[in-house]
Amino acid sequence: MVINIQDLYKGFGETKVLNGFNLQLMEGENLVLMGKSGSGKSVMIKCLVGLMEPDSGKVEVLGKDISIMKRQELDELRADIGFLFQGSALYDSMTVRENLEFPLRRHTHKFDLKNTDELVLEALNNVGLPHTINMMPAELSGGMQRRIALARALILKPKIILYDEPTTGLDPITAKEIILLMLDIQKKYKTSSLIITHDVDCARVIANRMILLLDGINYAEGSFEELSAANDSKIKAFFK
Amino acid sequence: MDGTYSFRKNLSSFFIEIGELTGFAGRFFQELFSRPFEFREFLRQCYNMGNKSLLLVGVTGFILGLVFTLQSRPTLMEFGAVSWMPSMISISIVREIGPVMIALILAGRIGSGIGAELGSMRVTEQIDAMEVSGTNPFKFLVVTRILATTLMVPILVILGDFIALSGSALVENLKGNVSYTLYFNQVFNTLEFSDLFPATIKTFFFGFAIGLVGCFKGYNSKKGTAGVGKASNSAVVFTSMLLFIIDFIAVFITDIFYP
Repeated sequence: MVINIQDLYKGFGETKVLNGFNLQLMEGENLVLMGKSGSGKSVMIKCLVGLMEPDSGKVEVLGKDISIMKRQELDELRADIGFLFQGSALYDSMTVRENLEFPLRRHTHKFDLKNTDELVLEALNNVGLPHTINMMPAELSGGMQRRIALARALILKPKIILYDEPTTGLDPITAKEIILLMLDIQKKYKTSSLIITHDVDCARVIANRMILLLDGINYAEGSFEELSAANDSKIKAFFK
Repeated sequence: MDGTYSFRKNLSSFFIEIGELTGFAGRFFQELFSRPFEFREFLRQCYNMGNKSLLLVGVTGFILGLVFTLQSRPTLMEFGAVSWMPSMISISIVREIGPVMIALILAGRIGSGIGAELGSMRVTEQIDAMEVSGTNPFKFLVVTRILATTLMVPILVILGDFIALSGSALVENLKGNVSYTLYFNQVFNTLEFSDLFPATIKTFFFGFAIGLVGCFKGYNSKKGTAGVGKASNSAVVFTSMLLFIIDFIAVFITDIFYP
């Protein structure tokens, strides 16, 4: 098991977002998490990487409890987690090369900086955009930005990749390309993936297992086929 | 009744903000002395702030000296004291007008830029991305920027002062046939340590205030593009007010040591 979340609670003032959420991600697995907007998916993923502190509950990543980790330990653990943000989150004052070099310069204990160029090119080749190396993010289309963000998430060769709505805001063709790219990467690097999405097509192609999040708890869990065939009206609503 | 309530609410949020700003400054000093030092980013910020503000500071300083001399000339001529022009202009510019005017311009140029940049990075999750990649974004973004403004604002002010005096010398040369050598001789004969030292020291505080408020507003910007605009705008307003308060304190202290 690479991620283990147990009884996770998180609220903002009076609003309770997560009410005892549980999740286990196995090695090499593609787990899709679906939920309505505001159901706490992004909050959960932020608790997972230490961007938010949960009110209570246990969050273990690669066997380590992140709630008791010091900043330096957490930063080291983060080298094993790739994160694809919803809006790509490329550093817009840096070129594509600098965006990709950025994580490498933070983890010099893991990589030799002499190989930076090779690693940057390898990551760009993986997403099919080696020619963009000296471009600024603003010069790229939305789909290209998402690919570069994926290359940045991959450059440290993480064991786990977290995808926060990877196809949101993209046209259907580009969205399909991103989904196929995610599958390729998973096969090539044998990563474990947690994918947060609204996109049923994405879930159909990529999910080994799915969790439906409703009112801050796991409402249903199973394979895409099992859940899409369920009779429960609340589950059906996810697949319409 | 509503007016009183609104005033109390605004006053209370003002003091809350001052408290938060103090906490932010405390965190800056805490992170300043801990490793790793983001020297590369610090140099990049110094270059961006210094190099890109040169033209603005140069033009503003030159016009400041030019206009100040043109406006003062008729009055000094009336009293037959036009020969005092270089002394009067140099003391006014070096001690007060130069540092305050240039710091205000830099608050607009650099402070709002930092507020908007960090605000937009917050909104587009770039700060979160930085944190996830194992970087301390406060150290990388905030500490480097505050340090860069603290160092660059004094340099820009000194440069601006010199350009303002050059503008003034040009007017004196054209209108009063005063040579540049004579003008600057008189300037340097007039200026003393007590004019230069306190004026330079206070510009470090100006620079620190510009960086601190810009970073504070941008880093804590609320979600949405409106939040970015608000961060940028309030960074300038808050910094301008803070600059006058710092200036008042600096003048007050200087008056004690150099009456």
